[in-house]
Amino acid sequence: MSGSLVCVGTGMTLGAHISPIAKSHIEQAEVVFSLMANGFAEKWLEGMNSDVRSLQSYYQEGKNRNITYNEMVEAILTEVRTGKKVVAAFYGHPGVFACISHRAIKKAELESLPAMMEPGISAEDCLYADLGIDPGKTGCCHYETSQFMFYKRNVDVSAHLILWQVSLAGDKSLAKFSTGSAYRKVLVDLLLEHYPSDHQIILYQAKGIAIDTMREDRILLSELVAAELFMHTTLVIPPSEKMQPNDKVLTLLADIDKQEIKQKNRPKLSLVL
Amino acid sequence: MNNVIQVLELMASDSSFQNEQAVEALLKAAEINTEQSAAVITQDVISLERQLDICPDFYCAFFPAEDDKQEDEDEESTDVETKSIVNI
Repeated sequence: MSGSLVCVGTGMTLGAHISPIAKSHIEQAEVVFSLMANGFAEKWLEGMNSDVRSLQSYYQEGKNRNITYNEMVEAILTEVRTGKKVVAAFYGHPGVFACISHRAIKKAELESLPAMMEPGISAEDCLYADLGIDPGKTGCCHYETSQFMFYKRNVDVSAHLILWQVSLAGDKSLAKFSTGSAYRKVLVDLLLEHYPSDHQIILYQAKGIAIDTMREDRILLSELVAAELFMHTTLVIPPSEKMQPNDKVLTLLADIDKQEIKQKNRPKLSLVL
Repeated sequence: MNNVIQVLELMASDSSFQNEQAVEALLKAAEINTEQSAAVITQDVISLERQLDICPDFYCAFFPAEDDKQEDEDEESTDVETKSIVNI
């Protein structure tokens, strides 16, 4: 019998965010690989299935994470190839900022092995709820922090800017678990090209377990260099300016509106024989 | 499953356990020992980690998915700098 792979998300807060179908996949799998954000969640998964294998041991400081991720993919696919029903459970959403699940599914499909993904509640979802931000209000732009630094971006200061994994800002080696203040100062200098130094920013962390407290530290942009950051800290930069109307597009649209009204009000012609 | 983990799961998934009294009753019903109960009530995550022998150092770095071209390059290349840029 052919093996199969389902990548599921367990959400951010243990027990609160997992979907019924994700839970069912975990319970019915022959092997579950787990990549959780804390040890409580790992123990929780162990209670749902008798063969849960943590992928945490593949991480090593100084080891390029790209190698780590490929090793994780191989570990998962090895079991699928032997014909087992495999679930890979990731904290949050398995497809958001997560190359392992995408790579594993793509490789499985290339080998004609059934593979699919079930979504989970992501850190982004929690952020909107916890901080009361509606991304539809002014728009919201998300980047992985180092990627934001490595490439030229058009920063829109009238929208929210959200930088994920800020504690690893500027790490080109992929081998560090955190970068220091010198790296972070480069990020702050980059942001100062767009925002005033006294602009209020938010350091955010979602709850991992019920007794955790969500982090919502409001500091000034200039204070970011010295701030305490963890691997799961997210930087939220609210808009510093109001949205500016695009007069050119608005004029074009107004012309279309006028034409539509004109056509609508045109007297109906009837054929007289 | 460990009883405390079950308690944490219930606290997060059942709306009737959103106040301290209900949590205390739940801890009692689940026969959680005094030290673990105190950690839950005072929201002392570090104490609970120690009592359950849970490793506090979990790595949760995430990494955007790359485009096909980039992934192919990553697999073929040994140039760490090149592949590090996108695949965090």
